[in-house]
Amino acid sequence: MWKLISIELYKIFRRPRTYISFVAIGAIVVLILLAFYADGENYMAFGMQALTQTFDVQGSLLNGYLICFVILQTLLIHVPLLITLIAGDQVAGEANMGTLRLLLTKPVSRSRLLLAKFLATIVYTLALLVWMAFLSLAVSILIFGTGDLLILKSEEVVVLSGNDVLWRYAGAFAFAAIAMSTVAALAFFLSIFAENSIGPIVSTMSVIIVFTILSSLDIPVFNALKPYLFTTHIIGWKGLFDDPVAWVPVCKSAVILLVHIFVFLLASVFVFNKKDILS
Amino acid sequence: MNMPVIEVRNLTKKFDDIVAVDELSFTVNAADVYGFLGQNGAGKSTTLRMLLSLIFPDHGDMHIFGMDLKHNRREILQQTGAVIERPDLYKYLTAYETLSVFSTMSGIHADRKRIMSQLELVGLTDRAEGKVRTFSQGMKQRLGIAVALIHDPRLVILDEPTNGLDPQGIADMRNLILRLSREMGKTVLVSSHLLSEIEQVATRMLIIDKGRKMVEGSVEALCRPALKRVEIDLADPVRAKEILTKAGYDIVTVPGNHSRLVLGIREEEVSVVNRLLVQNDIDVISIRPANSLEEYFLSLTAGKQHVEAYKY
Amino acid sequence: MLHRCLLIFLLVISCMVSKHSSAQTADDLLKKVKSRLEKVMDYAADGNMKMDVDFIRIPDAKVKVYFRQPDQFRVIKENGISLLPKGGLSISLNALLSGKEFVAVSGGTANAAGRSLSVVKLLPIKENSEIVLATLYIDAASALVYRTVATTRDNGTFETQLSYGKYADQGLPDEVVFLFNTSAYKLPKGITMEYEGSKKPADRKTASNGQGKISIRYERYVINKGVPDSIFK
Repeated sequence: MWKLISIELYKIFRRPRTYISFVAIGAIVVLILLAFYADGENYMAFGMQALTQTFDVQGSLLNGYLICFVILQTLLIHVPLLITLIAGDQVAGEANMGTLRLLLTKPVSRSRLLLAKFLATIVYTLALLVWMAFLSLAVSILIFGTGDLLILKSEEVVVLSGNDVLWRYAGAFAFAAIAMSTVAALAFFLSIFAENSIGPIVSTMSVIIVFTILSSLDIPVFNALKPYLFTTHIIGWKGLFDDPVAWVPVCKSAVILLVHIFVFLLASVFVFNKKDILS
Repeated sequence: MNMPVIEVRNLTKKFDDIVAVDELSFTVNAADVYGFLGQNGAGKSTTLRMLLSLIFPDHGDMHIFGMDLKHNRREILQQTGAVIERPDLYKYLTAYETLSVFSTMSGIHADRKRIMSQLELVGLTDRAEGKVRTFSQGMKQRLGIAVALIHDPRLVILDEPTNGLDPQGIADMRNLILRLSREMGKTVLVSSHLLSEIEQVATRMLIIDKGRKMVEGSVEALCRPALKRVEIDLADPVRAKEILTKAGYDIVTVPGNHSRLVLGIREEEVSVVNRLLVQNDIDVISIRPANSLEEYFLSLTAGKQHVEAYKY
Repeated sequence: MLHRCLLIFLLVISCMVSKHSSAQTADDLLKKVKSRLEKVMDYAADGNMKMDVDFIRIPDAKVKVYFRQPDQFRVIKENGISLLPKGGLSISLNALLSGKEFVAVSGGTANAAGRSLSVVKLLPIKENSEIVLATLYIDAASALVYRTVATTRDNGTFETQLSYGKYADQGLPDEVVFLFNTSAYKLPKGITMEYEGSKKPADRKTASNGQGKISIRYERYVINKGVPDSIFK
C-alpha cells in the first residue's frame, strides 16, 4: 500500500501545478503581513470602534498572534479552492489524460488504488497546512512579536493572555486539517463522476459557497439547516479562541467533519468499483 | 497444446438503449495471434475493455487462463498486458520514470537493468531520460508497449495499436506482434478496422459487427482458402444439386435465394463444373466467385442493410 | 475623550470662611486624609487586576500601577492588552485628592464595608470641572477612605471601594474595586463570521447588564523612589 501511496504522491508533486498552491498561500500571507505593517493601526481602529467608545485599549494589539488570527480567517476561505485543484483532479484528471484506463489494467484492486489516491491527497492537504501554519504563525511572530490576543466577536470581546495562545493555534491547525480534509474528500468524490477536473472543482466550490452563505445568514428558515451543513462546522477552530473554551461544540464539529470524510470516502470507493471506464 | 487462454460466452453490454456487444462468444487459444476485426463502433473496444475489467458486462462469462474474470481479476491482470487505443501516459514523467512507476504497480520490482532492457526491446534506450511530453506518437506507442510488457505477461491485448502511426511505425508494430507470438510464445489479441492488418499478423480472427459475431475462424481458411467459393445461379437448382452432389461436391444452398447454389472448389475446377452442368442440360445463369472475405468486410463497412453471415 | 485620563477628584482648599462644626469636621477629616496622602510623592506598585464586564472575557493579569504627584496615574500590563474604562478610571485616591478645588460638606455617617463611616461631600469650585459631585466615605478614626462615589460631567457615575492592609499608614489600599457603567457592545455577525457552536447562555456573567467592575489587588508599593516620565506619556 505504501508503494501505491508513494507513487500517487510522486505524481502529485511532480506536477508544476501543485506548487501553485504553495506559492499562492505565500503570496496571500505576504500581502497581509505587508498590509498590517504599513497600515495595521487604522485597520484595528475601525474594528474596535464599538469598544473604544467606553474603553481605552492599552498594549500592543498588533502582534503576531492577532495577525495569525486574521490570516487564518482569510486563508480558510481561499485554501479550499487550492485543495480542490488537486483533489478534484485525482480521478477526473487521470480520465482526462487517458491514464486511468492504464492504471486500472494493472493488478491492483480499485479500492486500494482509490484509497492510495485519497491518502496522497490528504498528505498534500496537510503539507499545505503546515506551510500555512509556518507562514502565518512563525513569520508573523518573527515580525510582529507575541502578546495578548484580542478577538472581537459579535457579542463579546475576548482577550487571551499571550502565554495561553500557542496551544490554541496548535488545536486550530489540527482542526483546520480536518476541515480541509473534508473539502478534499468532497472534491475527490465528485472527481469520480467527471472526465475533466474543472467539473469537480467548480461543483465543490459552488457547494462550499452556497453552504457558507446559508451558514452565515441569520434567517430562521435556514437556521434549522445549519447543523447539517459542513461549512457551519468548518469554522469550529474559532471555538478554541474563547474563554472558557467550548470543548463540547468544537469536538462535536470535529467529529461531524470526520464523519463527512468517512462517508465521502466510502461513497467514492463504492462508485469507483462499479464504474465503467470509458476514458 | 491448444488449451484456450480466453473463453468468452454470451457476452452482452448495453449502453442505455444501444447494444454495444450482443451475445458474443469466442475462444482464443494459447500462442494464437487472435485478430478482432470490425468497423469503428462495432464493439471491439468495448469487448476488450470488458476482458480487462474496465467495463462490466450486463451478462456473460469470461474465463482467462481458466479463471473467472469476475473473481480472479488480480491474478489474471498479473499475467496480462494491454495497450488500449491511443497511448496516453503521464506527460511530465520521463520514459524511465514511467516504466518504473508502472512496473511497481504491476507488482514487480524492476531495477535499472530490467527497465533499460525493456526500453531496448521497443527501441527507446536513447530517450530514457526524455519527458513523454516530447515524444512523437510512435514513440509514445512504443513506450506504451514497454509498459504493457514490463511484467512479462502471458497474454497481450492490443486495441487498434496502429492508429495514428506512420507506415514505419505500423511495420514495427507488426514485427513486434509476430515476435511476441513466435519468439516469446505469448498469446496476442489484437483489434483493428483494417483487414490487411489482421491478415498479416493474425492466426485466427473474428469479425464483429454491431456487437455480434459475424465470422470466426482461422485466417488461413478465411483469407487464403485452398478452396474458392463459387456461386452458381441456375434455373433448375434442384437437379443441379443432385448432379453435383453425385459428382462429389459439397453443396450449400442459400436460404432465401432458391436459384442459388454455393460450393467450394479449387480454381481449376470451375470450368469442370461448368462443363458438367452444361452436359446435363442444366441452364447456368451465372457462375461467379462468391464474396472474398475482403469484399464481405467491405460490405459490412458500407453499411448494407442485409448482410448474410459469411459462409465458407 | 476629555483631557488626560485620570481625573475625577478634588483638592481640598483650605476654607477661609468659618465653618459649621460638621463642615469643620469634614474639612479636618479631609485634611487628615490629604496630609497622609501627600507624603506619597510617587509610587510604583505591583498588582493583580481582575475585570468583570459582561461582554468582556479577559484573564486576570499582573499589572504595574504608577502614580506621581499631583495627578499622574497609569495602569500598565506588560506585554499585554488591558482595557480600562474611559474617562473615569481613578483608582488612586492620591490622583483624585491632589491639587483640585472643592468645597467639603459633611454628609453625616453611613454604614458601608461593615463600618461606620463619615460621609464627606465634595463640590467643585470651578464651573467647568470634570467632576460634578464627589462623595467620600471616610473612617473617622483612621482617616482612611473606604468608598468614593463620583459623578462626572460627561462619563457617568463611578464608584470605588477600597480596603486597607499593610500600607494603611501611607493611605495606600490593598484592594480597590472600581465600578462603572458600560454601553452595550455589538458587532454585526457578518464581519465576525462567528462559530455558532460556542454560544453561551446570556446569564453567565455575575455583573449586571451595563455594569462593569475592575478590581486591583495590590501586592507591593515602592514609594517615593521616583517614576520616570516615560511611564506617563
